[in-house]
Amino acid sequence: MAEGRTTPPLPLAAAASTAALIAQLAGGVAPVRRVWPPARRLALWLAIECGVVVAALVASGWRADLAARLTSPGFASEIVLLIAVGLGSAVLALLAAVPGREPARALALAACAGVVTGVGALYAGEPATAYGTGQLVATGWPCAAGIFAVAALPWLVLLLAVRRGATLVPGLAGLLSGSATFFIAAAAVRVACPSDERWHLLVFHLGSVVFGAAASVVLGLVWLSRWRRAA
Amino acid sequence: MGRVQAGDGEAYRLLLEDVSGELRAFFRRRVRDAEEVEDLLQEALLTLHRARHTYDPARPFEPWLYAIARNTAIDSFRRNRKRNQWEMLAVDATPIDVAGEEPGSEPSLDGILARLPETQRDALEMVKVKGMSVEDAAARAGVSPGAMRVRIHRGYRALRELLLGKDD
Repeated sequence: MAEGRTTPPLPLAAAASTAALIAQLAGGVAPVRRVWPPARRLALWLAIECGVVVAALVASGWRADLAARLTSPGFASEIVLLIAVGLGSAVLALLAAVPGREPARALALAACAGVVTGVGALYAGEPATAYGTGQLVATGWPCAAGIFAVAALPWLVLLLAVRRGATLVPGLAGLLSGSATFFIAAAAVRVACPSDERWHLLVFHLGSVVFGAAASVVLGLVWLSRWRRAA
Repeated sequence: MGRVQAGDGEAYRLLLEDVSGELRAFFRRRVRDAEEVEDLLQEALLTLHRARHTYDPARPFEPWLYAIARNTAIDSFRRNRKRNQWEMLAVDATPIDVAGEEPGSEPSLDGILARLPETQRDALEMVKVKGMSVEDAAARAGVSPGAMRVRIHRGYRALRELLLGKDD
């Protein structure tokens, strides 16, 4: 043997039960509908995501100074970053649904942490207004609710798309699904929200993304791993 | 695999028999106990069965198969580690004083064994007190011989900690 180790004898009972398992699986195998390739699932999800974002913006309107703000490199790059991270996360989430195509866990976690830190640093650079807590909450909760409302349907669709596969990394797939939908929702709400106040952005915009992604991890661990326990 | 996805039982049987050899070799490189290897193999075959709709025939088969095998091995490692932690916690929570012993007297073997978690106590009693073979003890406890050896090892460690704690 390559490793120079003696192979231990295989217990007859164990070998027999493996043979029985193979016979049982082969005997009862039914045709299965192959899961769509990631690119096709991404296209479907993207169509839904775009529809939701456009509908939300049409319903809520966008900030009055949007044209002027978009000429600012900081604001424009922030929006591009949020959307790019959302799209990248969606691609990785769909890949994570197929064994052997999962992204490296450490790399994905580091990327998510890096993006949250980067966006946090961007927001921390915005001016702070002397808000009271009550006013901060009063102006902030509609944005948090808006982010959850915009994220909800695409989040569900993406989780269903991942669930249709067979992820071996349910927590990571949940994180990536949440990251995809909440970052894009945050971009949409950022375009609509008139406030550039530091704590408003940190707590209610970025905070909602972090909360949503964390909830998605839990959901992933609970729900996306069930296929392995199926009969 | 394409024929398997179409429901061809014979192709599936041949595929499973074929990959079983590869997977068994894969797990043997990671686990010494032959029965545990078979447990992992069966778990991997079940996972393969449940995930067969995700395989894309346009892509190579091995990365798909070995991702399942690797994940099965990692899951098993995590489960074992968690179980070890619980058993160690149970040992840590055991009071060191041996109830019923005379103050200053040497603790009896029965008294100390009684303080061990049940699985470890039974393992030590069967193999070291009654002289049963590891295989017989494993069969009686309904676990693999590898798991029985682990219980014995932990039992020893727990005994040592109890005795050292008593001496302090």
